[in-house]
Parts: sequence; structure tokens; C-alpha cells
Amino acid sequence: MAETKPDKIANPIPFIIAAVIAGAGFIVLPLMAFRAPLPDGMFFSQKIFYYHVPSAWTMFLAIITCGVCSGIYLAKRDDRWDQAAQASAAIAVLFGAIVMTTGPIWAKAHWSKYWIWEARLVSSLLLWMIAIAYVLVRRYGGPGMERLAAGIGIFGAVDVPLVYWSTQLWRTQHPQNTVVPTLDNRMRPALYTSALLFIILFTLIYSVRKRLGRSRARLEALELAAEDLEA
Amino acid sequence: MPTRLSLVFAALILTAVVAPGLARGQNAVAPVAPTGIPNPGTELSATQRRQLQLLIESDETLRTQVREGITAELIGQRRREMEQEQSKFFADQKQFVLIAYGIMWALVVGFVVFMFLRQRKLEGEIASLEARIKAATQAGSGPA
Repeated sequence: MAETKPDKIANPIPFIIAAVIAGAGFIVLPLMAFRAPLPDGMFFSQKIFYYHVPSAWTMFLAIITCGVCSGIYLAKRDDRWDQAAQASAAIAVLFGAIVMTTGPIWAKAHWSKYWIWEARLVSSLLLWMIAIAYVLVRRYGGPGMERLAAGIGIFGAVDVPLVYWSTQLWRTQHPQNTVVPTLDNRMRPALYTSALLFIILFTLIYSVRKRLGRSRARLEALELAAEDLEA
Repeated sequence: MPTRLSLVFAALILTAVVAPGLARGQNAVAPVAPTGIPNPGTELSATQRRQLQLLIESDETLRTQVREGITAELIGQRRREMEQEQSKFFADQKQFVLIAYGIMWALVVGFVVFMFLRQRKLEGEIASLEARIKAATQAGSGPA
């Protein structure tokens, strides 16, 4: 029979502290972004950069985590890795949704168009759709869907470098990857604070989502046990 | 010795010379208000426009001044329009930033609330199943 101990967070204090830091940070972040100077030729909508770019990085991190955990799951067949991959994929969908909404809003403000069919935008959309495909397979895939989903997770992780270097591989209207390394020093604190806050948020949501996965696995095990008893 | 008659002549001559001068002086102090000149901002009549046109055509300096005045007025008008356009553009830009930030928060909060509700539902189902299993186990291990 499955483990039936109550599945609570062992020590909630670090979790609460991290949640408070993330909440406070996301209130302070707009002030930092507002004080940072605007680059030449950019308008006020450039401030979207401070949460569009870190959310894209977090999406990459989530999909890579999903791919790595899926690979380990396929090698070891340990359910904990499968649950980790599942939690990461859900977070990739969330941060992908943020990227896919903040990006077009910035595009509308700067290019006067919500969407342009160019390499960076299309490859990012495809990456987000791979994460959605993973979640849908897990939800509706039926028996054996863990291995199929793991394959999708690995495929998504392999796609990340392609999305990242798409601005160099193809002619694109999207800003190049050199924007961040050549950023004005006065803009860096806001960007890196934002990136740190997104990573804290990723960790928090990951732990909560993983707990949800464990609860679901426990429920499935209990259902099997109940069926055995009734039979 | 001047006679009475000479004094009368002197008074008449003085009156004739000084009175028109005094009258002109009064005119200079309080000129008669010109008629037919419109206030600034009012529409000119067709006759007034024609007169103005003739006046401008006949005077090179006036023509230059009018041209410069119109140019300055047009530049000022365009500048005011541009300032209005610019302030609208910046207001729109701020709106885009706020909308994007709001959507980001809404997505994060929505996801966390969804997970919280799902977790609560799962815990309820787990508790219910555990109770069922416990009851079934106790019934199975009891005296036959």
C-alpha cells in the first residue's frame, strides 16, 4: 500500500520568508524599473523589459529542469523525478504565458503590432506549446503517458538553445541577445533584482506544485488500495 | 496809448489764431474712436478682407510682417498639436507597462490560487479514501 503519512511542508518558515520577499520585491520592482534610465531610441514601454526578459529566462530554466528530470526519470524510473518534471512543466506553462502576453504588449507599444511572424517569436511560441503539450499529455494521456511526456520534456529542453540563438541564426526584428551583456550599469540592478525574484517565485511554485504531484500520486495509490480491498 | 478800438481788434485776432490751435490740442488728447476696425479674433467682412489684401499688396514691409506672423502662428499651432500627441503617446506607453504588469500578477496569483484549491480538493479526497480503507480494514479483521 502507498505511503499514507500527511504530506505537509516540513518547515514552513523558509517558505513564508521567501513568499514575503517575493511579494515585497514585486512591489519594489516597478519603482526600481521606473528609476532606471531609458536606452536611446526607446520609449517608456521599455520598462516591460524588466519582467519580460526574466520571465523568459525562468521559462527556459523550467523547461530545462523538466527535460533533465524527464531524462533521469526515463533512466531510473523513479517517480520523484517524474513529479519534478511535471512541476517544472507546469511552471514553464505559467512563465511562458507571461512571456507570451508581456511580449506582444511591448511589441504593440514599440512596433505598433502585437505579433510579427519572425524567428524569435515563433520559436518561443513553439517552445511554450511544447510545455503545454507536456501538461496535456500528463492530464489526458492515459496509461504509459509518463514516458511519452518525458520524451516531450526532453524535446522541449533541446529546443531551448534554438530559441535562445534564433536571433543570431535568422534575421529577426526582436532585440539581439547582446542587449543584456551590453546593458547600461544603471539598468542592471532592476533587471537582476527582477531575475532573482522570478527565481524565488519559481522555487516557491515548484515546491507547492511538487507537493500537489505527490498528493495526486498518493491519491492514485489509495484508490488502487481501495479497489483491492473491495475486490 | 492803445485806443479801445485797437484792443478789440487785438482780442479778435487772438481768438482767431488761438482757438483752432486749442481745438486741435483737444483732438490730440481725446481722438475720435475709429470705426470699422474689428477686434482681434473676430471674422473680417469681405470688404475688410479686400482692404487688408490691398494694404498688404501695396506695402512690402507689411507683407513680410504678415507672412512672418502667419508662419509663427502655424509653427505654434503645430507645436501645440505635437505636444498633445506626445503626451497621449506617453500616456499610452504607461498604460501598456501597467497592463503588462497587471497581467503578469494576475497569471501568477491565478496559478497559485488554482494550485491551492486543487491541493485542498486532493487532501479532501485522500482523507475520504483513507477513512474508507480504514473502515474496510477494520470490518475485514473483525470477528467473523
